[in-house]
Amino acid sequence: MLDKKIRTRLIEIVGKAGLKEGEGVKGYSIDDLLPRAILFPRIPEEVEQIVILALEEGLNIIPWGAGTQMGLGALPSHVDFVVCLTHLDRILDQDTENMSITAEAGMRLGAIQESLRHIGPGFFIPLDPPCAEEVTLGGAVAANTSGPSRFMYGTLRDLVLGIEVVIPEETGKVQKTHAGGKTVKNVSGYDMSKLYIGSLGTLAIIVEVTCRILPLPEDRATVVAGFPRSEAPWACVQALLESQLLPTSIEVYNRETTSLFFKHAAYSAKEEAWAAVRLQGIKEAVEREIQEIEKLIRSTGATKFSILRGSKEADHWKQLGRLGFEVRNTGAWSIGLRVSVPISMAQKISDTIAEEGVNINVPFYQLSHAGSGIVYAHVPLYEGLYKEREETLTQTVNALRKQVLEMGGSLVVEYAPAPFKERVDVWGELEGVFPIMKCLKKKFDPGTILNAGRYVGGI
Amino acid sequence: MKKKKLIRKMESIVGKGNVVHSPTGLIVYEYDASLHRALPDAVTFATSAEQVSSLIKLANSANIPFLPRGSGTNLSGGTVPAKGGIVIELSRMNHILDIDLKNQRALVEPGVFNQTLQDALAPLGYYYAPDPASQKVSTIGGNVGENSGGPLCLKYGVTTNHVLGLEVVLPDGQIVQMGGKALEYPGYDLKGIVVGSEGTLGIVTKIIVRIMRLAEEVKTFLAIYDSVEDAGQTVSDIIAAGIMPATLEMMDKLVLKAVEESVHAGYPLDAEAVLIIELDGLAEGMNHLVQRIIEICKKNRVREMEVAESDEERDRLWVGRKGAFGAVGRLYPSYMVNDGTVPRAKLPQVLKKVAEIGKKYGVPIGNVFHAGDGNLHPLILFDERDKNQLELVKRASYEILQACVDVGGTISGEHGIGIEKLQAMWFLFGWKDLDAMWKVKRTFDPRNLCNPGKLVPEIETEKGPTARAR
Repeated sequence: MLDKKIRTRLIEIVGKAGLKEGEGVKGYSIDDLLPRAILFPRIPEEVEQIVILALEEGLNIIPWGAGTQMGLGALPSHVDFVVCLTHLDRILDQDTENMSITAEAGMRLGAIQESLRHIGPGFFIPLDPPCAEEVTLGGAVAANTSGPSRFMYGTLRDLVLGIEVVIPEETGKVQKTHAGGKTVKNVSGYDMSKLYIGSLGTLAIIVEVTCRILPLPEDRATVVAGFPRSEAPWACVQALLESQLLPTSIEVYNRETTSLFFKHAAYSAKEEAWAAVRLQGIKEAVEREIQEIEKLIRSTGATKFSILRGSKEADHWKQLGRLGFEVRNTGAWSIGLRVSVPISMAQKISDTIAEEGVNINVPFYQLSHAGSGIVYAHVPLYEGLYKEREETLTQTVNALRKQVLEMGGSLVVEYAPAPFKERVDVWGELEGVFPIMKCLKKKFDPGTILNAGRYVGGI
Repeated sequence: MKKKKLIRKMESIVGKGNVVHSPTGLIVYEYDASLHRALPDAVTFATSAEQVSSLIKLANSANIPFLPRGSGTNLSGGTVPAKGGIVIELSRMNHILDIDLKNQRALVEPGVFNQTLQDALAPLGYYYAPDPASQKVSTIGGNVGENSGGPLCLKYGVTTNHVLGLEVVLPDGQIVQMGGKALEYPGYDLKGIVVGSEGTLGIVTKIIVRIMRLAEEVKTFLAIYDSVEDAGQTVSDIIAAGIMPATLEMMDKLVLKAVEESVHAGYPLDAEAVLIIELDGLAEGMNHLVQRIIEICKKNRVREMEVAESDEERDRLWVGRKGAFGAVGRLYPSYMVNDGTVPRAKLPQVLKKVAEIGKKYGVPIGNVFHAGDGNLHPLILFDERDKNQLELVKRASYEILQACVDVGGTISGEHGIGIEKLQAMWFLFGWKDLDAMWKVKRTFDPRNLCNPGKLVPEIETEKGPTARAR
């Protein structure tokens, strides 16, 4: 509950409609902790005012966008306010001649894409994170989420040109600052945007983002193939990487993943493993790529093969992007892992994950950005099953992490029930550079009011 | 610590022949490719991260500044020892340690020339995308320090987009790893902040870069114009048409003349501007794109177009562009180049403004630049020995930077702030923005010994915005 003085001040800042308490906070829990209030600032200045109040009263803030990534992070040390940025939802500048867009942090990616699609020949932000429609731009930046098309276009670390944030300095000196700009080349001072991208809102609250856009491709197609043996798609991946073809995305996934939500004609239950290759660009180039990839795939023993176009093609990628969401819908106690390894080791770690799944008798729903060395593994769990397997799952995740570290990569638990987060360090231990990160946190957020405890090493 | 004792200690770290401290020896290290000069106290040639670490610890114990140096091609004074101290020369750490095709990575030491890496990769069918014009002599370590660009960066991004891992010696001498061969590591993106930090946050001793397959087909052509505005408009129109060439470079009359006299590339001497346009990708669809570009050029009154039919012809078209800065030395003893960058559509407008500024100060200005990403390189030509002229040049340069900021651009696209543009940072940022940068600097380098006096101007935050040191 809020005390009267704080409630009055909050209403002064965000208005009555911008404050939710009591029943209204349901749906905003973080690792089973309910906040005392949800605030909906409408302009960046209101974010500043909230931060000032939080500093004065020593209250903790959890920034929130669409909430799709709220499972990410260690257990918070405490939760007072959720600051939900979805009312900061304006496009401030669409400069298609410069190929850039500036929008407020709470604007949904789907809405931005929709707006860009209708300008001239049509444009888009080349970013397809999980739940790509509903995520907010600021949320995507804070969590640095990305999707299959990172293979061609990179991540927000490559796409963001400028950023505006509110830094919670000591009382009375809250700082709204900007970094970067709207030019694609910019080395004026430190590249501060990089610091905020992926910082999970622990250094500052992001209120505005400028990023690159591209013209919509002339043509799009996706090749989907099913294989009776799990190693076959990886042979295709390696051959593709060594070729001069230019696919946008190269994905590999397993039978479990397809079983969850594909009632699609492209799929059947027989195949063990699947690959999807997306091609975008000039018509002639796409046609040739399809032909070559078909040849390649058929030579590696595919038993199912189709070429998707138009809305079927778009839906295919939309569905793949909802994998984690669907798994969590199946069981509220589910666990999701994200593994990043050098590209050539993705197959090995994917195999290991599958074997571990057999050993401990739980299915791992896998989806790999195979051309980028990123493997997602989701385990659908309900409470009973989780409790039964808690110990073995802990051992499995720790063992996987050990192997991933030996490969020179990293393993992050993207979401898990709170009891699991008490057993396993969701981020993994950092060496060497951790004191610098800790010091940065102290300099940017000396009162530790932002997302306390949720980032690496309990930052 | 007495200087003699300090020198002896440096010698015990890197070996006797690897410390330069005689006044005549040091003069070679007082400059880079900018107009700034300052003498170091000593220059040391390191061959390992451990040596760099020991040198840094020594500098700390003596409380004197230190800074890294590669080939010294820096254009903004970043390599000039503004406050004296120890120069840590990295040119002998010049080994390509690993080329890992399966993972599309290369591991290099900082003193490797950009071109040396390209030459090692090309026979394997690979390349490293950032290609600064200085690549024959500039080092990968220097490229990381400055977050260098280059013609290809239009399509493929700058250095930061291609650096995946670093070994860094921090300003307290600790050796740490940032990033690696994989793409994702938890925690703040320290690698992202160290790239482009101009050697002010530590010294990079190993670099993991992304390498890419060479494109199947490359088409290079030269478009010749009778007006700079038409050439500028062509650039805007190509981008607006949704075509993303690999490079889109421009040179104006003054530069063409200098280049032609120097390398005989076959550029027309009576043209007002030329564009070098290069497309890369799959062979299929390439002709279609070439046709569209030709149409856009024609619409903008191109006088003539020349397509490179062979690798030799392509190299000939490029040699002039890459040698342009050196070539203007034939016209005047000195030049100052700045690299203000503007939103692409503002290019024709800003080019006009640059010409006006040249007239106003009575200094000739040549233009050679990365037109596709709005990255200008006005070369202001003059004679350094004439102090009056030097002052005018500095003023003209700052006025150009202000003009770039006025249209929503920035003061440096790829050359860095260094010493040269330190005060121009105020055009772009308020004290709060700069204070955030100082938080980073103080985190890494609380004693301000690591390449001090660069990149971020000093501020007095207590007094607020009025403390701006304009």
